[in-house]
Amino acid sequence: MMQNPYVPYKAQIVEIRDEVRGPRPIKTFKMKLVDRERFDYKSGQGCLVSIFGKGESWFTIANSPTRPDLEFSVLKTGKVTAKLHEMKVGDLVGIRGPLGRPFPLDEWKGMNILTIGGGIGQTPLRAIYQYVIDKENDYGDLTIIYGARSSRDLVYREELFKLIEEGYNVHLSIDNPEPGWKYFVGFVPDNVKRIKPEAKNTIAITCGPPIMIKITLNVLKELGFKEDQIYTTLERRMKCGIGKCGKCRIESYYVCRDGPVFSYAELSSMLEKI
Amino acid sequence: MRTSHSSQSLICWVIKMIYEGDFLKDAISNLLARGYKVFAPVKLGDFHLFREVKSAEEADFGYILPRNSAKIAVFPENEVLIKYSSWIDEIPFEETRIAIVGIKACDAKAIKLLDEHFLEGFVDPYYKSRREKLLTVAITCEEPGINCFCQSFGINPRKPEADVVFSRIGGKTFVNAYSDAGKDFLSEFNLRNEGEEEARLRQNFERETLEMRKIEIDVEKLKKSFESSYWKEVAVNCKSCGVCTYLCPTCFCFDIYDEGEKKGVRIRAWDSCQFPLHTLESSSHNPRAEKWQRLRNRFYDKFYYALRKGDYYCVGCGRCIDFCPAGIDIVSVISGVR
Amino acid sequence: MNEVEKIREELKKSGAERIVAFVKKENEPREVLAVLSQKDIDKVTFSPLSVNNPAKLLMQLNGKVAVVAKGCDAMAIRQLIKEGKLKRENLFIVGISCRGVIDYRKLSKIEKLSEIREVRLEGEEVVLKMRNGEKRIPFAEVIEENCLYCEHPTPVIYDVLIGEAREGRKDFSDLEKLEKMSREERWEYWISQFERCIRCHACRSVCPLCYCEECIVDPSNLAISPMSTAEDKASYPRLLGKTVNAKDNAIYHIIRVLHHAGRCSGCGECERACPMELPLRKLERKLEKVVKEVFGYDLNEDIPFFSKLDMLGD
Repeated sequence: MMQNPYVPYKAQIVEIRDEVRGPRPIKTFKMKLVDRERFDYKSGQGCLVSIFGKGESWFTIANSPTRPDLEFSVLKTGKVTAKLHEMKVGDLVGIRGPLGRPFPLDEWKGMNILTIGGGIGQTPLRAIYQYVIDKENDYGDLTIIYGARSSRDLVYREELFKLIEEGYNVHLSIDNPEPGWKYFVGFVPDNVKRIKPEAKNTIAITCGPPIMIKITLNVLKELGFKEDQIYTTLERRMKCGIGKCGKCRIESYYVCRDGPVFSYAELSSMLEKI
Repeated sequence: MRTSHSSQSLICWVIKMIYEGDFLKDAISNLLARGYKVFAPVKLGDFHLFREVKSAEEADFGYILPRNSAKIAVFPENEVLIKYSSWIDEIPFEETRIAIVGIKACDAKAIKLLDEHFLEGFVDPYYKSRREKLLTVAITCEEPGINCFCQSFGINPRKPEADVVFSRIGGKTFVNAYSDAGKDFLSEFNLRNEGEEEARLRQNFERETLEMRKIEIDVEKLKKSFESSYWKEVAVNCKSCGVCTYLCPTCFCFDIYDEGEKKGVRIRAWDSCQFPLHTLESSSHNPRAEKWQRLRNRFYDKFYYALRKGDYYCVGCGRCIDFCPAGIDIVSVISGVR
Repeated sequence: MNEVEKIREELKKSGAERIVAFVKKENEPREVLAVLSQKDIDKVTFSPLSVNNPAKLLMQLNGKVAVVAKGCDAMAIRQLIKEGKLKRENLFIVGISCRGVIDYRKLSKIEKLSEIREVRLEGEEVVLKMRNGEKRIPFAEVIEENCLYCEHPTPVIYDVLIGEAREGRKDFSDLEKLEKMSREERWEYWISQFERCIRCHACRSVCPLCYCEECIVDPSNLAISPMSTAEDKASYPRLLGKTVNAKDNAIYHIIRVLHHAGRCSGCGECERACPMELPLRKLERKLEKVVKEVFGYDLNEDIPFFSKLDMLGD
């Protein structure tokens, strides 16, 4: 981390991919630090992307540290993200990071990894499955369950289809039927129920809309998952990114510094229920 | 569970001296002459505010507590983090030495608590740049205000944790130094050692317990009462304003925002957990959308969550009680948790 | 029966499930507002230190509510009924013909508050029941300045009135000093006041008329609804920054006050709540004067001021 944690590194946008179009568009930006090598980080950590004159927004790093550069998938939702969506390859932004506590991937060595994602919530999960794929000898089976409202709302679509072709255990779903859709139709938790992943020696990580997470949690418990086998990432309004400004505080934890990754065992010991 | 932050007990060479003259004003003049930025209480109408003063005459010491807390000296209401145009132009830092003259024991303790927050983990360089150049000249309390309860936290209003402590006892001016910086500062003055009789006078003054309110904190009860309807009852008349948090010497929440599109400044400014916008996310989700949740958050913050670090986050200054427009009283609320 | 007993009696008779009235604050001689049920009726009290306006609290409550209202409180309640924020039929108003309230800050300069047990008015004197014995001080020494110019000391709306109806004052002599200043002097005066503001928003938060969920002077760039698009949020009007400085503070206060044209009840909650003691009532008073003298509007008219402006057209 930099000397003054409020001062961003200079970064350049090197690639932009449209993930989702329409009224709630998502783009993935690949960025390269300009004056220095990429910093070390771990899956689950985030950065504050800074555009002077607009402000800063927190994004989880969308690619595994085993892959080059830094990727951020950005839902256009406010001032900073609207500006980002207008930007072109070659434009400069600021990056502060890496911030927060990552997934304990080292502790999970030898275990099966199950990711359950919905919508843009797939972002931190992508940083996990890429890592597990790149270090496949270190881990057991990888299962990716992911769904969105419609096929057009699936982020990292091409990458996931390619993983299916390569024989990875990927289960996609959309909420409503569409012509030509070959995979599950229904909500993500129902897909989990259908697939019945084995709880033994497995870590489940679930990210997505709060309601999806809530129901998924119940399904996982029915399948025999214990709270310390389940992880998620929390979302809160963040400004400083270093546990000072108080905005993302839950009890004595700062989501930006002590999260965004939490196990359900940790979350259920808190008074303020998430 | 609580730890003491008393640095006084660690230092055995404390200087105990007597000064003939108007010490506080002379202290301000001395500090200003040596280029310090001096924060001292200024009288406006019927009340006092900590402000930066340019001369000793501006300051006035006839108060129990200034209305605002002394934290403005280390954590100002607004401060520029970065000046930018297309990229960073300048990162401004406080270069001048800073002094607070007239701080009381509660506010002095609050700065120690703010230190824990801003200097622990990631070091906040802006806070640090002020803090490491800070000299505190404290005044002991002769009598408490109606809503003072600092003694509940082990604070001795007659023995503030500051670099220099000033007391007026029996018509005499006592000045003590409790740190190297304080000792250096006092070397600027013409002082004489206190006599035996004077020492006794001072010790008695320091030992005397003041008659003031007491807060009863039952941590176990707090833990059990989190979901209690009590918080809705307490909050019914809460206005969700920022008086309690803005006057609080230990509240540290802030917002960061950019002012100026092509050329401008990235600023941090005080924010309050009582404002709904404090936690509102861009998705429109708000984890503390209801005012009773925000009010509960403030109380748990002070007396429950903060315990992870070993200390309550309240110093008993009573400002939030005195100036809550709804009359919400932290002592009654915490003592009456059910 | 004394005033407090009469108040309790009427609140009881109202049969309302919920009561908004004053109760004694712990540790201090003043009263604070509370939402009570009939079984708590003995907690109800009233004194010249029952200063707050209950109107804002009423907006949170559903069903039948009995409320104790002084002259200015009743003005605010009537205004909120006019604006569709309160329903007359849900309220049982115990009106108090008000002689004015005590300025707590002034009182604290004269007497040590911790010594005072109880406060009551007797003729032109305030009787302070002290820890040891009694003390009398002239009411004129501690009355809130705002009350000196009160136009409606007797509630304009009530179900039962306690005390004799009394006349208010209709002049604006309190503004003379400011109006006599030159523009430059006035600017300097106001900037020296606004400069103190810490933007805690207490003035807005306590004001019964500041009930908007989204306030135009909020420094946020966020719209609240889940339907808001990124463009909405990015282009959200931002009239002033969050930075505390005299000029932005001035904009905040001036805009806030302008939204009270023809509406302000004169209760003085803004000034009372201000921890920095800004003379906010003076702004409201000037506006009252303009509304009356320039637009010929009377607060007692049934039609709200802004609706009337629309009807007047150009």
